[in-house]
Amino acid sequence: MPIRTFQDLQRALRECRDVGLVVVQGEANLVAQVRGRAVFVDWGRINRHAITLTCPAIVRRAADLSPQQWAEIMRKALQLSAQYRWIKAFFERPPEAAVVIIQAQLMLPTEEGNDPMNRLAFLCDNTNLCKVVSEMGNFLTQI
Amino acid sequence: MATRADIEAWLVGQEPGEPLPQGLPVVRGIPVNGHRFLLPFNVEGVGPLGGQLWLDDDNIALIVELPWRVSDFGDEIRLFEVLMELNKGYGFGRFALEDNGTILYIVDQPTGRPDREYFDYFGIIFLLGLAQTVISRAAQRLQGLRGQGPF
Repeated sequence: MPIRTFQDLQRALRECRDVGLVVVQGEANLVAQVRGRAVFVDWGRINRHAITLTCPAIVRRAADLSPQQWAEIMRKALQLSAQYRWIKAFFERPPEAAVVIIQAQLMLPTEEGNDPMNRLAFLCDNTNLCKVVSEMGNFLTQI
Repeated sequence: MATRADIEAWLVGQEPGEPLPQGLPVVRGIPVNGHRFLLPFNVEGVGPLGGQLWLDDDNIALIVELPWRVSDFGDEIRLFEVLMELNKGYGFGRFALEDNGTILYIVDQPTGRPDREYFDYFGIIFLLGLAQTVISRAAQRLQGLRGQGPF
């Protein structure tokens, strides 16, 4: 089934094997429970060409981390990112915390008729969304 | 959109079953084995690189081994942070690490069915263009770690 609207996205997620609760949080955002973890799902706001799935995978108090521990955390996330498909790793360092975030993006068609990215619009469907969610769930169990 | 067989024919310079779309640039891949190809391309500020293009049954991936290893850099933390900053800044595609310390750039997407609507020729141009842009930007950023590494 193609995903063409935010409502399609909600329905598609609820049908994915690895997804529990789906909580809508506005016109273009929702939170999906993927194997017990909260994954934030964005419909074209972070990247207008993508459905973006984001999960804060590791959260530590900055004061508890030595530079060497921080390096090991980043190394492991970058290594897992080579082993799993479609998932990238980056970090946020708000005051007092160190957060490793993992993220996946599935190409999303735009409204513009001549947008070349829309040639790949047919790939935005239930099957591919669930595959990406499942891979993210696998990654989360390893990190 | 095209079947996997048509995309593979295009990569080796043969005529696909369906006519090629107009304006499609020439891309040449060297068959490696199965549905995997070596794709030579040039990156500004880096030089010639070879990407592996995997046309797997449910996934298309361009995997580029970069000419830098973790051990080339004195400041690992800063290196990882720069790679992750680039990951945050660019949509699709990512920097990742092999266990042996090789730095990779990977851009991949789930595909359709190989024998029907698998992917699109221009999608492969997109993967290549993204790799060229982001790897070039990474080279510039990593130059900043000069004196601690190979530059």
